[in-house]
Amino acid sequence: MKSVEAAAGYLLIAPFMLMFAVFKLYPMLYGIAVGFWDRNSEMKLLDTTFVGLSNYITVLKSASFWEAFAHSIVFSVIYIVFLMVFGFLAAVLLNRKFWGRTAVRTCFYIPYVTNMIAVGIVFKYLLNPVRGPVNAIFRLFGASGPGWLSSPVMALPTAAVIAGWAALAFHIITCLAALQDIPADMYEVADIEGAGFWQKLRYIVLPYLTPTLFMLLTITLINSFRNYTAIAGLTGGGPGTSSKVVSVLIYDDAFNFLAFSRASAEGVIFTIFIIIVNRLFTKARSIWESRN
Amino acid sequence: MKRIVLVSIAMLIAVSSVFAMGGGETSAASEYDRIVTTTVTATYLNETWFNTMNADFEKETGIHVVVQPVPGDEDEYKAKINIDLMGGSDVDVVETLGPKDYSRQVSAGFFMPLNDAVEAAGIDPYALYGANLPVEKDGNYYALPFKQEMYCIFYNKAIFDEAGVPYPEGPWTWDEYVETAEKLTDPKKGIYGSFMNADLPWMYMPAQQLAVPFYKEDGSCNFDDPVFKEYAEWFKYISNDLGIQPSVAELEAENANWNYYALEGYRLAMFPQGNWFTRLLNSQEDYPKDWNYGVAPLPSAGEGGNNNLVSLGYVAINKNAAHPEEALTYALWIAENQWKYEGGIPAFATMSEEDQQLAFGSIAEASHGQVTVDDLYQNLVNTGLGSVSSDIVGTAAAEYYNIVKEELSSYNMNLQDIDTAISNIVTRVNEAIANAE
Amino acid sequence: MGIKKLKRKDIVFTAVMWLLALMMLYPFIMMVAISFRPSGQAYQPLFSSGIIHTLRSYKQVLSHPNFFDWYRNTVVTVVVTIFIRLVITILAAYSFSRLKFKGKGLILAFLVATMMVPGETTMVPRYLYFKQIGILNTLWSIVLPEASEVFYLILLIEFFSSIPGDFTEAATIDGAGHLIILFRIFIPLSGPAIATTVLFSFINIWNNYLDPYLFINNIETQLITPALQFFQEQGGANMPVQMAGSALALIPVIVLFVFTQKYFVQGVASSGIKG
Repeated sequence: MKSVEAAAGYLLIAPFMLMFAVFKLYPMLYGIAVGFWDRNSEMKLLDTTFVGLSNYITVLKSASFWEAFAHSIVFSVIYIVFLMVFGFLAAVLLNRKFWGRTAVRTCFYIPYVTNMIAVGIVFKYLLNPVRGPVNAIFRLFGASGPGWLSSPVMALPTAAVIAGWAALAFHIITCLAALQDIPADMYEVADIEGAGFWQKLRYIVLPYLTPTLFMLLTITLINSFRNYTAIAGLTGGGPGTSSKVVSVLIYDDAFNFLAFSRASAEGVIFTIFIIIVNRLFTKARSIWESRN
Repeated sequence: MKRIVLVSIAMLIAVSSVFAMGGGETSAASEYDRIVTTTVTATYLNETWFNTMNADFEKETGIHVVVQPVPGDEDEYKAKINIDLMGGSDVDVVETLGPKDYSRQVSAGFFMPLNDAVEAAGIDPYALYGANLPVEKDGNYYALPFKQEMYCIFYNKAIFDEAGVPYPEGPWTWDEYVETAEKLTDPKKGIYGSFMNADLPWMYMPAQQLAVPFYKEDGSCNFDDPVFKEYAEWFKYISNDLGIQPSVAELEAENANWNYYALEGYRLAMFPQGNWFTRLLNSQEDYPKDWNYGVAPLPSAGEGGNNNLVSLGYVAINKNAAHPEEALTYALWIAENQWKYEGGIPAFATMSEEDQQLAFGSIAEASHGQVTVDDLYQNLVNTGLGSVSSDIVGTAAAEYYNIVKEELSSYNMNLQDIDTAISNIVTRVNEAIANAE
Repeated sequence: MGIKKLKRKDIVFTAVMWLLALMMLYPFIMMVAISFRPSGQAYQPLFSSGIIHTLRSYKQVLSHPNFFDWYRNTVVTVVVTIFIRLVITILAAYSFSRLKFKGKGLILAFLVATMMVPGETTMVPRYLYFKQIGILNTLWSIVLPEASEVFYLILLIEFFSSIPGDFTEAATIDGAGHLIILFRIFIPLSGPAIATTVLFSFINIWNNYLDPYLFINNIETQLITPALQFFQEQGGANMPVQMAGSALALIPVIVLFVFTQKYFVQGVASSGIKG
């Protein structure tokens, strides 16, 4: 009986695994192999000479890689915090009853489907330090606003927040869904006890949503490293190299400089890092859960 | 639920039938006896002259041109053709982006040498193109130059008239240029006397006119030559300190293209650009403006710097071309004729009067009297200036370009001093050169 | 007094929410505004004097000989991908969530780990490989790799795991095979989860830029999102035309969003996403 079940199990995952192996896994393994070859210039594009770890050593020694690495981490931290906090808050607000709620919700979802190029253009205009409306507000109060996307300090955080803003819909939808599962009588009890908005948030909503938020955090953690389109569209990695993240570095090395092996080594090192972070996060989560 | 399943199955059947028919196959292959495929930047696709040109080519030779444009800008085009050619694409003709990537693509073995075929066609390319023919170290040339972009100064006649300053005339020097720009700059009216984007080659333009080599004799980076430093500092001075043009911080903030800066965002009295810009200046529909433009030659950078910056366009044939014969016919035809359709300057060593008329006639006509054929010829071609490439070429040129841009931007935004910037450039470029070899 | 105060608070709240909604919508409004302008005024503020309004961009997009090819290709790709994705993912998710077999945990852990590989690293290998197997320059080069997406597998596994075990046990005792259980019990129960998969898949594939840009060369085979980048002019992108194209390309996505919103939220609510 057990072996029959196992056979069925393998049979049913076979189509997925087959498609996965052929169209996803094989290119990945190929990509890893490239990291051990010497395809670092136009002359060696189809070269398969094994060069051991030399690409990895080059990458680990290169200052630009570590700079990009640090930028990626900064980007991810800001992106994750922004999405987790504002996605949750927006969902709580949108869960209350008010006139035109459905329409307002739809407005909150639109950025998710809007073309990133359009988003880039609009934010560049809004945040233009010289003639943009945002800094005009700063000047109204006699302050000179920050340079936003053009300031070496602010460019990366600004881009992270805009990317987070564009991805907000997914978090809102997920949190809204979870909010609907909270039994209405819990609010009634809270109302009778005279709990305010923040107290309700702290003692009812937050505990109820913890599993959802953990799930979202995992997804966001992975997605936060897929930031090529956002950075390319908003800052192009500039000014200077101040917002050049690893994904932009990899794209440049591979397609503009034709150094595929180096790009591949960069990708592998970075992937290992992401996996480690993810494992640590899962560990932390299980410890936290066992305590509660 | 059942209904949903039924509907989706019906939809799938409908869709898969379309899928099976459409898509994949190029219909052109079966309809025409002889075809040639060419990959170009998407810009061409939206130009009427490009379609007219290909139609004329087909009429003349009976070969149908299948265009494979690459979505996106020039950077994306470059990345895409690199991937395609490396992956063994059998597209026939490639309009490369010129010298910047040419030698790298040749070393990658992407292109076919053209010597024998061109000579068999009865053309003496050395006489026709002179120094513009991209002959590689092995004595072969793998592309034909089909146009050249010449730099010049475009100016806004209305601003000059208003300030009572006479229009600029060549020959002149950068000092005179800056002096004129100072007279015209008027912050109250939002007028900048000059404009140069925080990009290459403008960030050290005169150094390039002085033809300072980018590489030392041993092949390493030569950006520590004092002339580069001098003009990088000059650029920062005129932008950030003198204020005759927008500060670099402001340009980085806008992070826009020339079209925006010159025709929408600012009122500019003068700016150095290539002759391709005439097409925008002439386009009242896309870029409405209420002023007339004029053309002056590029200022000289002093002794040894009497040079204009020139950027060439190359057409090459893929080594794996599916239709090599047609590819050659097309490439030769392009090299001979494209400039006439495009309204550009041919890459010939000398231009006859008829050539001038052909090259500039359409621009002058489209300008509705703003510029004449003679204006254009005298200020773009017959300037008495020699010519140097406006691009960084050679080993690791693309990295070189990026690194210089990044480091000089940081310098211009006061993030590092000039010596740090230059030493960073030298270290990083040398690293890139070592990696490439 | 109390009621009045409450009402005023509600009005303020509603106003604030509408203001926020407008802010969220602003880029979209801007996009539409730009699509009616000439290139030379693309970057002007929303309300500024001297703006010329024109339908030229829309004419240019709609009169492009390949525009409807791109639209059709995209619809076809989206529908076929979602269909294949659903079939193989549902089967696998059922197996992973309900059946016991050796190495299950290991396989799953491995699949999850591959989610973290940045796509940029595999672009070139994929290109070479797709050319080798002859799907380059066809819509299959988008459909087939997209079909097995681990994210949706995890989503469906989580959902299937939440279906009470008694259902299956009863069916198993009746002697029903796995496929019958799957079709009679799991699929009817997982309407919302499947809807979620369909909608997120639709949005993601519709907006996919990099893959079709890399793997498709013929202009008539291109998909809509990268194809909008065909609208370039001298010196850069032709903003108004691209915005007009984006607006036209967004219509199906927005329609889908608006009309399925309610179902959408329910879908996520009962599916595994929320944890």
